[in-house]
Amino acid sequence: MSRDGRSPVEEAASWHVRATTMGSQDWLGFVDWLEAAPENAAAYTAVAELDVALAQPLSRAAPKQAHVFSRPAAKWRRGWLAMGGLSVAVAAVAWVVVGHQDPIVLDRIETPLGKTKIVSLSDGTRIAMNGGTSLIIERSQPRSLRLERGEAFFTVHHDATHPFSVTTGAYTVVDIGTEFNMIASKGGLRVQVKSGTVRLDHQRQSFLLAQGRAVAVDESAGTLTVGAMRDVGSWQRGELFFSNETLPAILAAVERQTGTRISYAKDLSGLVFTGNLKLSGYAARDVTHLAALIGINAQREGEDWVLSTRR
Amino acid sequence: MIGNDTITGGGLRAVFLERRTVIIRLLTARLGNADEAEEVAQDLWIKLERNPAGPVAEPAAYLFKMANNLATDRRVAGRRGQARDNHWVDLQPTHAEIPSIEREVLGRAALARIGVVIADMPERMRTALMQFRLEGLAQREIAANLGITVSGVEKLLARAYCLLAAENELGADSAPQHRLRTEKESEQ
Repeated sequence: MSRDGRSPVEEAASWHVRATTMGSQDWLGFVDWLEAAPENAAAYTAVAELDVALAQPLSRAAPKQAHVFSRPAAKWRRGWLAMGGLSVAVAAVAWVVVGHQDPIVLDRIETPLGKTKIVSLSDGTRIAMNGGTSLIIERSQPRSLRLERGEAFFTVHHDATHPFSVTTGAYTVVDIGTEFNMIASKGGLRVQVKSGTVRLDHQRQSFLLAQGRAVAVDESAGTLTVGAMRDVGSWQRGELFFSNETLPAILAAVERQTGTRISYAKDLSGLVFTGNLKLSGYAARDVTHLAALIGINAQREGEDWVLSTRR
Repeated sequence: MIGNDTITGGGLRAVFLERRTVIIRLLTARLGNADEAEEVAQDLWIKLERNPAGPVAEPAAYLFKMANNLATDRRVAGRRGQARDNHWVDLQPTHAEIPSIEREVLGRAALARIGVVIADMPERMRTALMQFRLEGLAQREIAANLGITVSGVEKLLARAYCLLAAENELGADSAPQHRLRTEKESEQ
């Protein structure tokens, strides 16, 4: 990380762009920068090699006569209002934020644990909400949602000029023609792409995520882990696939589907599990099945379940 | 010291010898390897002998740029050699196709994804990138075309390359972990 807080890739891109016009003093600065950290040289190589490959896709991108200063967004908003806004097929709580020029009407759609819900937007986008999920939709901007918590699978009606986005915390996922699944939890976010591509924006950084790939953001560790993912959104048929998954994430997934609270003994907190779990929706069966798969003990306490090490 | 005067072939070789240490440092940093750096410096010397350049305004900058470009070519050529072992081997063109350097660097799937990123760029950014990379316009000219400052163009282009590099990195299986910039870090 540089003094001014830019990442090596950002700095590399900046050097690369300037390389055609740099004077000899700038080049000395460039050499110093390259030598300062191995990440710098690696980032520069990535940018320079990318540039070599750029001619072909660039020449394919249609050079439409540029209306550089046009503002399609404003028109789009009017278009949505004219259509009567949003037609949500479920009961929703709405409230109005006053004090702005236009009143902002927000709809919150929630599901309790154990209950799923399908939401259809007027543009044809379909959202399958898992249990324990909360979504906020602004009526005048129904293609910019907020996932407050829980999990949802989005089948987006793609419109390149009006991108569909879902924000959670400081992260925004922007659809580029996509079906994707998203899980928001305390201090973390997961995005899994079934088809198409999404872009994950965080502060000034952007990551692109293609079909079959998944990203997990862990805020406390400050990491963003990218991996492969098959069968995205399989929770809709009650099937859960875990790959080196931590116990809290597994239990959250089971809770969303069964509606039962599951706690666990402290000594299980480091546990990870790889495997798949077919849920019946009956907590008693599903929790004991999970415990048997992992090789731990499950015990009922009132409505809740407690997991512990097998003795 | 040979100054900023316009200079031709023989003079460039003199500047090369004068700046050899920095050129080697540049190449070593780019290639991660002193032996390769020496080889590429040798290539550069041979190029200067065989194809004397026309008058060059900033000879040292010109040589650094040449060295830097040769380092990139070398990396790309190295990749080509490795392509057989790479996971994208099935994405490589068949021998019936004329393999372009682009394909060998990135593979078809990566190029398609990059196409998506370009299509998704804000119009100004895409225009700036095209004029810079395809039409080879100077940033001054791009700035005039877009009605923004030169530093605005620089930022726009740098941002474009960042987006593309992020996509390219994400597409590769070899880079599983990225460190996020947190608020705290960016304040430093």
